[in-house]
Amino acid sequence: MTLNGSITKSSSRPSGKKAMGQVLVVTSGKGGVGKTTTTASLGAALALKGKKTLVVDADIGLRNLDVILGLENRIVFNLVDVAKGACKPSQAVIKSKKSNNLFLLPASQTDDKDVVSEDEVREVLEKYKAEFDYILVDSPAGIEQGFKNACAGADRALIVTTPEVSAIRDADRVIGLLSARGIEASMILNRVDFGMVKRGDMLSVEDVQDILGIDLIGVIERDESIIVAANCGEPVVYNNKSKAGMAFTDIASRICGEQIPVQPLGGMGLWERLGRRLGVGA
Amino acid sequence: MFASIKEKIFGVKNSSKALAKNRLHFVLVQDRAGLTNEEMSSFRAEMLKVIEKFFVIDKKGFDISYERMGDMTTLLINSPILVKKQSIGDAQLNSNKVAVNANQTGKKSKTGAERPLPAS
Repeated sequence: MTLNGSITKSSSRPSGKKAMGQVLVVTSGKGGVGKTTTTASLGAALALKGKKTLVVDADIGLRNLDVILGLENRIVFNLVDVAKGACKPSQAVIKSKKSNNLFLLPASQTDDKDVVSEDEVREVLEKYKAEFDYILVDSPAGIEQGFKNACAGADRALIVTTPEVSAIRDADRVIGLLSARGIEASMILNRVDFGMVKRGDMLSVEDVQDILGIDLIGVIERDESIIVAANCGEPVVYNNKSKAGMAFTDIASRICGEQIPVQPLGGMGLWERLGRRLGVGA
Repeated sequence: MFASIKEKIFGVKNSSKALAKNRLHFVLVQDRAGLTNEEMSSFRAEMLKVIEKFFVIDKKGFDISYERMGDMTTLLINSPILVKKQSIGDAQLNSNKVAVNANQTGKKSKTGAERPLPAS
């Protein structure tokens, strides 16, 4: 399979090291596991790190990335408009309120998922690649056309799953489909409750890793601050006290190639956690 | 707290997590293989028959699983051998684990005992 726009490394653009931005699709199979929250949070975290980031809502007909980012009132054009040439690529993207580095390309709310083809999505992403360091595509749930569109043009995939049998089963299916398309996938394990893990009532991080057998790029603890952040339309990474926010910031660093060990804060003791906050030890 | 004491005394067997892991194990083997329940159990039965022609095996430890490494899926048949059929009289009960690898995608084949899906 040919990955459109293979990552060519040259210094044609002054701000970045790569000439073309990297496209990451955020997907899961199952709905409601945190894809949109993950896309918004990682987008904001990458932007905070100084990376010019575009988050794309590929959930045509059921868009939500706009509300999670608090940008629902600013939408004029959308992904379908760009695909059909109804507007210029620069007209459709909306700058985030909080960061000059974060932009949203919203989905259309009135069309069907199959109104655009995989090739059209790939062409749309191609138009933004030179402009951005990272492009995160929020995939719809399922494995049908919407999922295929979201994966078109992706260089890499982030699979969001939770330690539940249904989410893991669907994640496994999606990993198989991505691997058939030649897209390398890493996993984000979301909504882990370490209390339940200790009681033996929730699959542990290691259990899920054993079962799915793919690279783990981050663990997000179940955290109320995510719901509060969604209520306010502000990504959780802006909340310095939120464990989930810190975990997303760590994942953003790993996406940028930084070597930060994946150790969930909830699995650490008090002193380890303090040490980490103060920058001592791992 | 009581839960963790209970766990220490009785082990983690009665935890719902162990059940989840076990159920996932079976469901994923079927999903990955694309076989129906019936096909899977007849595959299992025939596989057992063939292996038992040559080896005495521990049926309880017999396990079929899939492992994914990149773009390759490997079928793992884990069959603990109690003793080689010819030398049963030696009463030397060695429990060796043998992994039979069959390739699903037909790209590369692997050898050696691999990490199977977590068994019960």
